[in-house]
Amino acid sequence: MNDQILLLTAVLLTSLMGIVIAFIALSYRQLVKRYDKLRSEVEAQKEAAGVFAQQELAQAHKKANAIIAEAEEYSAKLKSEFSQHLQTILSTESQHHKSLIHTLQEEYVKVFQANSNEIKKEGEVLISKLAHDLIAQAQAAAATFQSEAQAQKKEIEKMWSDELHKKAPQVLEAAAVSVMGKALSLKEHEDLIIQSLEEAKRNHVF
Amino acid sequence: MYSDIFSHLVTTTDRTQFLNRLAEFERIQYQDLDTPLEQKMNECFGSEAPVVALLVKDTGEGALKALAQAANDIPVCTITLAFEPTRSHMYKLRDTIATLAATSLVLNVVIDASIVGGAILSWNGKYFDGSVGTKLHEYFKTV
Repeated sequence: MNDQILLLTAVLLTSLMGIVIAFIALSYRQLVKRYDKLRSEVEAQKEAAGVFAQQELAQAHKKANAIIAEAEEYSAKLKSEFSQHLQTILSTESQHHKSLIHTLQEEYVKVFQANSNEIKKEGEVLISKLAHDLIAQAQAAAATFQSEAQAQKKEIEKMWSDELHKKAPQVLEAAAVSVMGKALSLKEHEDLIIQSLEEAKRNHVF
Repeated sequence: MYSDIFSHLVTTTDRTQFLNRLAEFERIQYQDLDTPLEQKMNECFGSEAPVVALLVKDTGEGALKALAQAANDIPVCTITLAFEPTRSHMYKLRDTIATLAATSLVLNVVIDASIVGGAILSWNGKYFDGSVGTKLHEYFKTV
């Protein structure tokens, strides 16, 4: 029983499924048709738009070319005018500068020559005076130095002389003591002692 | 009184040695009584016959002290020389000075080579410089 129910149910469900699939297939077909239709419309519109765009572009191009041509013409004119003005100004200024420089050069040469002669004369006088002063100073310094040197020489000579006079007796005494101390014999020593004793007696030591 | 005894005392060193011998004799004369006194005298003063001769007469404590006192009382003459004199020269010097001073004396000899020669004397509170060094110095001071 159950098996028959199940079989019938399965057949029923399978039929329903077939109906649904058939419906879906029909819907899909309609949908494809609509898509194709829409696609052809879009293509037609695109084509029309392309034609329109081409026309607009061509017109814009024409306008642009016209504008450029005008601009170029105007620019060339402006350029030539500006160039002419500039050349005029430059030539005028150049002339003016040249004349100014020439004037300045002439003035400078005049002033310089005049001053140069004066400076030269003053310089010669100054140099001559300076040389004269320097020679005089050098001669005075040399004279002073010479007199100082002579005074110092005399002072040193005197100092050495004094020193020599002061030291000479000491040196001679030391030499005499050394020589006599070595030269005296025993007999001479004894005689000297006897002389000392006699001298002491004369001096009332005894 | 003691001139014979003191004749051999030429320098202060001699006198000191004599006094030392005298003290030694005084110390030993009553020791070892078996040893004769003459032997002890000869041991102490063997080479000094006048001393022995004197002590033979009297070896008492008073005599020894009187002798020591007399030796100490000999006047001293200090003499500075430039060289070390010989013994005989010292006798000669002592005798010469004693004659000049008219008294017996002993010498205190000082050696100083810097005086070169001659002598410097100091006697009885007096000083005399008869050295060659001083004479040379005075001479060159006046030059």
